[in-house]
Amino acid sequence: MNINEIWHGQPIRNKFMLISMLTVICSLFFVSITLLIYEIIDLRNVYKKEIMTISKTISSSSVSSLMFDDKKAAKKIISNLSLMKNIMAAAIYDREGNLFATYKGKDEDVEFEPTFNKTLGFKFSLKSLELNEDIFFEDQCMGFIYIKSDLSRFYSRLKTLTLTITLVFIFSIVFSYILLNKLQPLIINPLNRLAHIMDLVSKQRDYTKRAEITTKDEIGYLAMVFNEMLDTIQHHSLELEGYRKHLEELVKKRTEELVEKNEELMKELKERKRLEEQLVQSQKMEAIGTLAGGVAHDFNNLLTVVLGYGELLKQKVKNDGTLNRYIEHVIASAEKGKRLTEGLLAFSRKQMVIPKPVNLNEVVRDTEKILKRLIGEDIELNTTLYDKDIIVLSDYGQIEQILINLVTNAKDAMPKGGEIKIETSLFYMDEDFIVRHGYGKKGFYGALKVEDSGIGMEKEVMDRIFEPFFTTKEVGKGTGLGLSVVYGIVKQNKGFISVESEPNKGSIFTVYLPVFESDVTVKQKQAVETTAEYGKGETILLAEDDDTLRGLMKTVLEQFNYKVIEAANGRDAIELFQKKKDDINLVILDVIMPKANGKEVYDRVRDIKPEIPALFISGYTSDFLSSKEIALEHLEFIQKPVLPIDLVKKVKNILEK
Amino acid sequence: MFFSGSQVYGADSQKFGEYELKAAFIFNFAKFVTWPEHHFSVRKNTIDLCVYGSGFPINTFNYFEGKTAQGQIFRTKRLKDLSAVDGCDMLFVCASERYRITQIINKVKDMPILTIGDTEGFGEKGVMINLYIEDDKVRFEINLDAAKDAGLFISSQLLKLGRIIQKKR
Repeated sequence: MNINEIWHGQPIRNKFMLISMLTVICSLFFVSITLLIYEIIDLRNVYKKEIMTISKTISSSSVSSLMFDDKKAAKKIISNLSLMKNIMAAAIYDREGNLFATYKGKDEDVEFEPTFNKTLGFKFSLKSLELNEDIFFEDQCMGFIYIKSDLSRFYSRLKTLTLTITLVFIFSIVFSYILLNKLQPLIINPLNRLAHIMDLVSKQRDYTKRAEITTKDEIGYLAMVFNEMLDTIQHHSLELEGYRKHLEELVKKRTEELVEKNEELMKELKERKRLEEQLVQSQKMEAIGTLAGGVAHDFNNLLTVVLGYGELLKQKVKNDGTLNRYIEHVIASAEKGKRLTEGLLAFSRKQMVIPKPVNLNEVVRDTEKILKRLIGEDIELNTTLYDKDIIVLSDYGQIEQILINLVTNAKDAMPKGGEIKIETSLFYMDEDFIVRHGYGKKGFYGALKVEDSGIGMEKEVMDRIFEPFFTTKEVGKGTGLGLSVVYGIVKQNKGFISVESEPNKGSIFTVYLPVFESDVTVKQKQAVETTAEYGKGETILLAEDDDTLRGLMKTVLEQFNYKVIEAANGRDAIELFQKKKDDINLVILDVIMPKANGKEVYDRVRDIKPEIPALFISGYTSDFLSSKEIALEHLEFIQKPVLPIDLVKKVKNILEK
Repeated sequence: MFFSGSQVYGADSQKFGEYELKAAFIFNFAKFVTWPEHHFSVRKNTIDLCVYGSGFPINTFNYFEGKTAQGQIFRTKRLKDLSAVDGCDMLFVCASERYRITQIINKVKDMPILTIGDTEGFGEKGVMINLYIEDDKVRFEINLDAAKDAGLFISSQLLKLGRIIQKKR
């Protein structure tokens, strides 16, 4: 490291001290040296003057001695020098240069030159000062004088002087150092404070700090300018921070939006795919159903003919054993074919049924014995029933058929035995379920679940199990119509069916049938719908032969602020209407009723009170009234199973017309 | 060095003759005597040495003729008639006048004239500076009272070299 680097590496305090001290030392050095030289010269002059004075005195005193050649007198005069301790020796020479008189100081060993041949003036030597002068009297040289003076006193004074100056020099330096050390903070401290603030600002990025301005010099100006700079930086920094935050928020918002949109898109895509699959599936089933239904219908007619004539033929040939046997084969086969066509008709929903409120629990309970016989002893059957009755509008036989078909399938899936679980429950199909399964309609359903611990199935199989004649069973073991029939019945009842299965993990079939009534649903409906918006105390004549259904409808209507007059059959209805024709605002008529059907009642009622509105209830649109008739006569119609809210809405609509 | 060779100025009886030395002494006396104030300025700018009597060769003074002492030109002349003594500043009385010395002194005693002799007894008789020989060296005695009576002031330089006669008082 060279001096330059060392210098640049020093703190400003050290530099300041070093420069100041160097200046002080140099100045003091020159002052001291000058003083010393001046003092030496002065001292020399003092000595010269002293000796000169002595010389003059001696000269003037001894001039007469020289003139009158009186050596004794001269000796006497010169001897007076003994009073001057520093005079080592002195001599007087006459004008011809001969020694005239001499003087020697104590302990001095001086050899005088016999003749005077020295240069006039002073002569300094190391130890002594010599003076050679001529002696004048009235412009005439009378002789010469020689004086030698000891310089030890001069040197001792010089020594004292040097020592004093050196001491003053050292003292001054020490004093200067202390003074500078005390005073340097005046300059250094503002600078250090400023540097400290700068350091803080730079390290902590805290632009709120400000330098303290204590002086009005360049440092003060620097601090002021620095503060101004900090103001600017702080301002910019805040602005920047603001922009940054704004940008961050913007990015966050955009990202969130994007994620949200993306999720929505994914959901939509998924749903669309499922819907597409569902559509394809249902279209396929619809097509199959139409085909199967058409074929079955014609086939049924053909078989009816075969069977009819077969029976006639049987009666004719009952004595002929062989022919009888033949004809019985024909009839048996035709019967078999009829059952098949019946299955196909069930699948294609062409089966003629009259839906009635059916208690799911009751069907399961009643069918349990038959089912147990059906599955044999290797398989355990467990049923779990919902603690309240679940009423669905369907056909007892159809539900029995569903149970038998599902349980038969389950049995066939468990050749080595296992467990079948049957469970009923009330189920609310919500948006979530519909989205998850890709089908369904919001509302309450009675759920019938059949679970086995059998071989299960692949997805490819699952997709096709409801197709007619699709079977995985051995040839001749199944008809391939079991699940198709189930499917048909469920669809006919506006229900849904779901399958969950995995190979070797069993299968779960769940049938959802819309709930017609249960205590729970009524109460829940009440919670959902507000009653105030509907009835205004209007009276309704309700004609329905089924007591359960009529009771339910009455409860619902009264719930929504309507008065209900009940009639169990057609004739009762007409009689009640005649009695209370003025009070009745609306008649609700079941199309199929004993003693007088809905249409007949309607015609009689219109004769009594032509403006009376009517609402028809029916399981089938084509029972007695064709859609043409409905259109022409503007008849109001509601199809079974009637959901309470639909009924109330319909009633409200008619009354408000 | 103003003087060199045979020129006599100081006093060395060895090298020079007695009269030459005495003459040098006499000339030097002129330098150590102060005459009354205005003495020279009123009259002239010379110091006149008069030699009265016989026996002292006057030409020994020739060397000093025209030299200056105390700024005045030194001159010598033989005084024949004592009545003309008032023109003298210094009066050398030769040994020949030893019998008339009292008369001469009486004549000049109140005048500012430095009286000088080289005869034994002259000092006591009232001659202000009287030269004599001692150990082969020329010496002198000084009658300080006589000088004071005449209003002359003799320098201490001279006094410390000469023998002082104090008899009168």
